[in-house]
Amino acid sequence: MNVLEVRDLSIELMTTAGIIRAVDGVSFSIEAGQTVTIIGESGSGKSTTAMGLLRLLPEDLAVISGHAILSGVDVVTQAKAFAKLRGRAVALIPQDAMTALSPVHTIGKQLGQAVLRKGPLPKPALRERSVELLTQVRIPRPEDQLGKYPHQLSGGMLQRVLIAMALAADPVLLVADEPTSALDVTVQAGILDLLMELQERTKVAILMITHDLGVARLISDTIHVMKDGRFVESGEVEQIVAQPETDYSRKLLAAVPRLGRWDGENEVVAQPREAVDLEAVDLEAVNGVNP
Amino acid sequence: MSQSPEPDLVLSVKNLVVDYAVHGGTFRAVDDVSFDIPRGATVAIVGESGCGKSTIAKAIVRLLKPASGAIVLNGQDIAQMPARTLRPLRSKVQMVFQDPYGSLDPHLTAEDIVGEPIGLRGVRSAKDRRAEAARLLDQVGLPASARGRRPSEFSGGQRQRIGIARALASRPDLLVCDEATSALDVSVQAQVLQLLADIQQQSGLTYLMISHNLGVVRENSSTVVVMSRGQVVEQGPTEQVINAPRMPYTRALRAAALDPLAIVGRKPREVVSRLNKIEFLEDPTLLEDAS
Amino acid sequence: MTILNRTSLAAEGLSKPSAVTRSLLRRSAAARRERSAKVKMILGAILTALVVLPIVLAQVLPLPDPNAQAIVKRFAPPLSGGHLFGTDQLGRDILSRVLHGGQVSLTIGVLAVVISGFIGIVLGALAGFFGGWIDSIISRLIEAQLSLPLLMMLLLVVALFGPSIPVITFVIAIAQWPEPARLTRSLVLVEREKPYVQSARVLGLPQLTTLVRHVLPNIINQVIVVVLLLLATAVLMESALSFLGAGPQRPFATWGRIISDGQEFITTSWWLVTLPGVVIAVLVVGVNLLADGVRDRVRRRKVES
Repeated sequence: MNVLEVRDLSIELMTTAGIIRAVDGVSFSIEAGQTVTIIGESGSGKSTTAMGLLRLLPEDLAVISGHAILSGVDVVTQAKAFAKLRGRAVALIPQDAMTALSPVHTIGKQLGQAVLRKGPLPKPALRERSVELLTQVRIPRPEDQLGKYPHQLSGGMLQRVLIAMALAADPVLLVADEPTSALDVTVQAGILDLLMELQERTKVAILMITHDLGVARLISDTIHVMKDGRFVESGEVEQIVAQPETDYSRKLLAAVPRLGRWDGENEVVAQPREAVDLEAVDLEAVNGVNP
Repeated sequence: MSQSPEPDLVLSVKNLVVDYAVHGGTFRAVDDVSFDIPRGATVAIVGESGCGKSTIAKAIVRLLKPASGAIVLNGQDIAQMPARTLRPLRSKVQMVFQDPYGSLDPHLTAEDIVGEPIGLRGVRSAKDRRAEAARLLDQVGLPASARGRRPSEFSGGQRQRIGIARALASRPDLLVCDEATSALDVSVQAQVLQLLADIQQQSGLTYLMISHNLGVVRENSSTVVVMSRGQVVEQGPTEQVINAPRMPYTRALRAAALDPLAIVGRKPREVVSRLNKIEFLEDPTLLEDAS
Repeated sequence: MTILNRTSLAAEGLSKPSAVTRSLLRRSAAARRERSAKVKMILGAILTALVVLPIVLAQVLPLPDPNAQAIVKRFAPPLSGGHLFGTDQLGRDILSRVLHGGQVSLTIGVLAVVISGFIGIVLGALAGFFGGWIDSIISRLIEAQLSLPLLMMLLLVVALFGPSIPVITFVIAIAQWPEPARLTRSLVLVEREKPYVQSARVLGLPQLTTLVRHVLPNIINQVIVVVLLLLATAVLMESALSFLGAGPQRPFATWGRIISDGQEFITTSWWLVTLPGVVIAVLVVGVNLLADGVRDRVRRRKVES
């Protein structure tokens, strides 16, 4: 049963440099309890896809066409109906926690606002629900954190708060836009584990946007490799990683530094990497952006 | 009894201490750090954000003055050297910066940017400067058409190449790469690292690589210095530090580096859960107290 | 249950047709911004030229002598007997007075702006780049000057040193330098932290060279725009001084003087005061629009880089 079904989605941006087709006819679907990842480099259109799906792009900049059906509502054609769903049936976990939160309001206040999206609640119930959410995202001493301001928490903590806010209205779909890119590697692990645990428990569907193949491999069921606004390869994550079919996917894999498997005690397998001729694959055009 | 010859060290850091002034006192960013960089080698400093690795880089190129300790460059201690005496020595240590978008003067052409250090070396004729700049731009893989262009016309990877050419133009003995590839896409990162390796092979240049990515470090360095909170946690030959880390923090860094090809199974939560069992020097669930 | 098959999409043939309609494009933010910048610049340029060109050409235009008095023709209304703006209480042609007077007003305005721009940029850049005691002194100077009541200060200086053109020019320049100084200082503070400035230091460039060769060229456009806007203020200030009698003395009939000469007749012969006022207004609006439009273009280009 599909939580989200996207058909032929295109997003064109009206910029001063002309009309840019940032997303060019992509199709995919996500089921409950599943994680679908869109992986690509900067400029591939992956973040635009996520922002466009949530109708977070300004109307006077982006023109969206195609279909994206979430909980029976078509995001593209039924803007008003979708506005009611945003923050409830579907929630966003943005990339940069520092800018996503208001610096002048407390964590408790902002989390409370997210909770109230679902419906009005009396103050004590609101507080209880806020504490419950903070506990779910494994924040220690949650009652104390409610009164704190964003600048008093570390990056990893803030990201957990954002996840709590996204969960506040029991969404069926979480859109995570590079949620760990701004975090240290050691903190990233905890966030990813949290997301996977939440998914196991609540069967929430996750659309993950990332440029990191390691993150994608860890957390996804299906991945779509995106380049220049299109999916160049899609499939189950183990297959794409083990046997990429397109040159672009191969290039991405070859470029990831290999560390080999390690179970925490000993180096289990030290894989020599196959030599891949980076020059043979069409890489970044050396002749400049405007030849 | 024969004495082993003194290793030829380009740079030797001894007991380096760097403090920052903050509200109500000082913050010790680098706390008694020592390491050596032999000529022709690549030494890497690895650690999470805030561990002091970038501060060390800045101290070595004297963008900061250390509180105490020695930075011995080709036999001379430059740590406390006055600016005037230091100036002719500056060309010996150059830096490639992290941010490809801010590290080049936006109103100059690539030729001018690379030509400036050539001029500082004493090359008076504009024609000679241009010729040498052209040669360097060619060496870093940029075409002749790139010479007259401004930074805004180049992509991130290309800007870093210009930055490398600029650094090489001073004919340094040591090149400090301060997270030089961290802001680049994975495939572009691989290309730039390859370029640096090629240059080292051709010219025997010595590198100090600052990175948070163990994978990048493993490919390219002979020695790794692991840092956390201003102190050296562990240092030694790369393979040893990465494959048989002694300290818990190094093990945590190693475990958290996700190699997509080394993960097995679909969504292996046990990989991430394992990370949570490893003792972290920096507990990700700790909160920073701003007071 | 939808099971996604393993696909690798080869390069397709045609893409989908564009969904961007003409009307959407017209209403887009980018188009609106571009239009508004263009409109401002063109309108601003026209209005400014409308005032500046006749003033610059005042000598060669067929105008009566601005000081020629003709009592019989006093208080002639506009568009009567060859007087486009009418005549004043002494029969002098107002258009001629406005244009010739404008030469003095504009000269003072432009000179004052050039001087204040130069002082402001230099001091602001030094304060922003070097910080420390240099910044303390310059910032205190800026604050001190901004806290003084402007007009009082100007009148005081004129009272002390006499209302000659150099004094007036100088006084207006002194009044205006804090604004470009503050802006330059902030812009330099921001640029200073950027890696390309640090790189210059690592290369071994002396500080001052870095400031002049690298930092200033990157911020100068934004400051020039503000300096342009100051031109309008300078002209207004000169008019105010002249109006109060502290402007250049006879025979220079600057705008403020023309207006003050005519103020007692405002109810009977409105054109003595209103028309010169309109000219000043058109110039000020024109220069402001032009500078605004240029600033929009500069900002847009900075964003795109």
